[in-house]
Amino acid sequence: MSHASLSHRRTHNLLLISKLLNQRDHASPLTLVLDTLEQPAKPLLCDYLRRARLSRTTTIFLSFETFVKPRDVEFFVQCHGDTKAPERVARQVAEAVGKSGNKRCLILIDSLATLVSMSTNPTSNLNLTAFLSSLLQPATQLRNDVQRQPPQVSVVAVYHTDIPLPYPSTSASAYSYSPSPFALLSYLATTIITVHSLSILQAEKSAQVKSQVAPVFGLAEEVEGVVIGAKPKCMGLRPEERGIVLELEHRRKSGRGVLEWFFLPTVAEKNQSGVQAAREIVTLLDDHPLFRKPKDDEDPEQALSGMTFELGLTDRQRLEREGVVLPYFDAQKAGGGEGGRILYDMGVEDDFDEEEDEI
Amino acid sequence: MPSSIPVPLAAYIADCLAPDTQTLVTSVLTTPSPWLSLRLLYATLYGVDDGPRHAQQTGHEVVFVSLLRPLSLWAEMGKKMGLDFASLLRNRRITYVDGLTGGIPSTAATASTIEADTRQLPTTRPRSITLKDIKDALDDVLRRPSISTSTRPTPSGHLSSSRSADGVFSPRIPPATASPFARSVGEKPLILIDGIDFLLASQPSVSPVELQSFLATLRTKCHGLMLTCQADSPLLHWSSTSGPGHETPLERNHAHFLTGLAHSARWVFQLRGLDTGSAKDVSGVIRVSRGGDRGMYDGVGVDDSPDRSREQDLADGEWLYQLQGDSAVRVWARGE
Repeated sequence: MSHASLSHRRTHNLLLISKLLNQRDHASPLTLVLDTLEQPAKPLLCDYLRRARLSRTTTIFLSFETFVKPRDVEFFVQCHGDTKAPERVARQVAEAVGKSGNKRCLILIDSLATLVSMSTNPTSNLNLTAFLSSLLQPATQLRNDVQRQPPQVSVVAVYHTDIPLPYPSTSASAYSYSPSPFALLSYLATTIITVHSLSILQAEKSAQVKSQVAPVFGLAEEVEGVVIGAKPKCMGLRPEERGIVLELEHRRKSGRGVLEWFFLPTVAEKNQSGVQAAREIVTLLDDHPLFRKPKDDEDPEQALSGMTFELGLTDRQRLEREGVVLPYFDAQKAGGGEGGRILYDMGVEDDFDEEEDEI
Repeated sequence: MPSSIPVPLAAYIADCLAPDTQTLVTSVLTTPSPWLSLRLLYATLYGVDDGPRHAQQTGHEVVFVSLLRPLSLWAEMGKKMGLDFASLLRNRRITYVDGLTGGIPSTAATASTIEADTRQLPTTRPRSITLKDIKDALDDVLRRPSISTSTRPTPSGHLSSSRSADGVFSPRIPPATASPFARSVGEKPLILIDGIDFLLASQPSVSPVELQSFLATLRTKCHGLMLTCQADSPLLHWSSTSGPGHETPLERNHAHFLTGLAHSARWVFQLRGLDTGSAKDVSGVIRVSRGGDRGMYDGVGVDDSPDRSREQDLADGEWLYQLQGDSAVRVWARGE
């Protein structure tokens, strides 16, 4: 049973993550990537960029903490330094979208920390929601070509969950009633990807097997002087089995949420080109050698083999069983059907009591 | 002859000298970081290896901003490991921005000899230690045209010949006057700021966002940025020490600032005391971890440059260290 659901998840959820990472069909306008110091989201951003290059999507990179322009980025907007007000950033993005003339644009934000702390400060006058929607809808800037279809813009933004908010200034008391920026962002996002470190998950899993408390790393350890944890090394893994773990939460338009864990290999084969490069490299976490479930649990045949009686059916028995028309199917025919009706002729020996029947 | 740079750390320090990197050194009260700052400084000036070949490749001028410690301390510690601050300052290999005496008139009455010596040296003193004045002072320093290219003597083989001669341990003082570095005009210096968090702590009006944007603008103007910062428990784990909602502005802003720095740093050197108490022959633990800035090139594609592949091989590590009386430092792995 679990086997069937695994293959079902393999088909559907792999299609979903592939669609999300490739930004096909405008599947997720706002993707929030949550990371920590233990596992930064940079490898995931690299993968976004690689896929964007393959699908010829225009990439715009808003850099708040990146100082070297990454490869594969077409427009690199430096947002650090106090000279750049958010409105200017939004205007530059709109210009870049207009200049590219491409129908599909991908905007990557390498850290929301600055924007978030500015949004809690009333003097900076930044509305986070308004800023993000101004990125997503730059079409208003392009007055001259209204007849053209507006481009599909997707935003992928990284939020470092381990950076606490700065202390609010005294005049910010009005803001204490509004939701925290993180809560706001997670409501707005159509997809949330949490990045996990493979070695930490493995350590947690091995602790769980021994019924021990799962170890914590880095800032969560609360050891004096420790900022980044010493993660155990994953021994005995092939290079293509090293990578990061993605926890996906996708909100469909219907409102239904999809939760799944994926594994993204970081070391990819070289000389990728053409068909080879377009192949999906993400797998389910359950298919990773470290997290694969043992085979005997999955196989129902093996579970029944140790019994003293026969639970299976022969072919003939199965055919006969399928031939039986069950009464409730028959009763659904027009006129009630004949199979399920109770026919009874009262005989002389029957003592019919009207009062008893009324009850 | 023991090298000034501990061998286990050499590869990491060499990687910190790559262009456009930010390095963060965190320390706690029991394990201060000046020894590591000086070694980073040394590596920036002379390279990690002892070989003269390497020294020619890496050799950057340094803008050294000290906000917590006096120049006399740096000069004294540096002397023991072969950094001659006096001549380096006169040659302008190091530009020293003195945040400690900023705005305070010097009192010459109770000066020891080394303090009197250092007072004569050419240093830059910001008018005060407000963020604005330090910003102005640094802008001023960075705007100065390539400091000493005209006055510097031509490279000579003096450095390598003097080094091969001595086999016994002695503090090596490379002759800074005969430095074989010819800085090209466009080359940017490296900036080392000691105690950057002091700016945040001493001035409540400075918001962490302002300080971060100041550092970001600095980073675009220099070859690399090295920062030291405190990571004591009350400054980092405010939620557990004082309970959520009861933390002070300093605690919360410091945690915000430090975590942000670690996210944009390539390597984070974390100094702390022994978890098991104290020992006579161990000064502390140093952990070197990769920060949040892992470079965007390590995704998919051609990564053939040797630099990049070597850097990928460096794994996080943890060692014990001991500061010895002569300011030498011994670094070893647990169990060695």
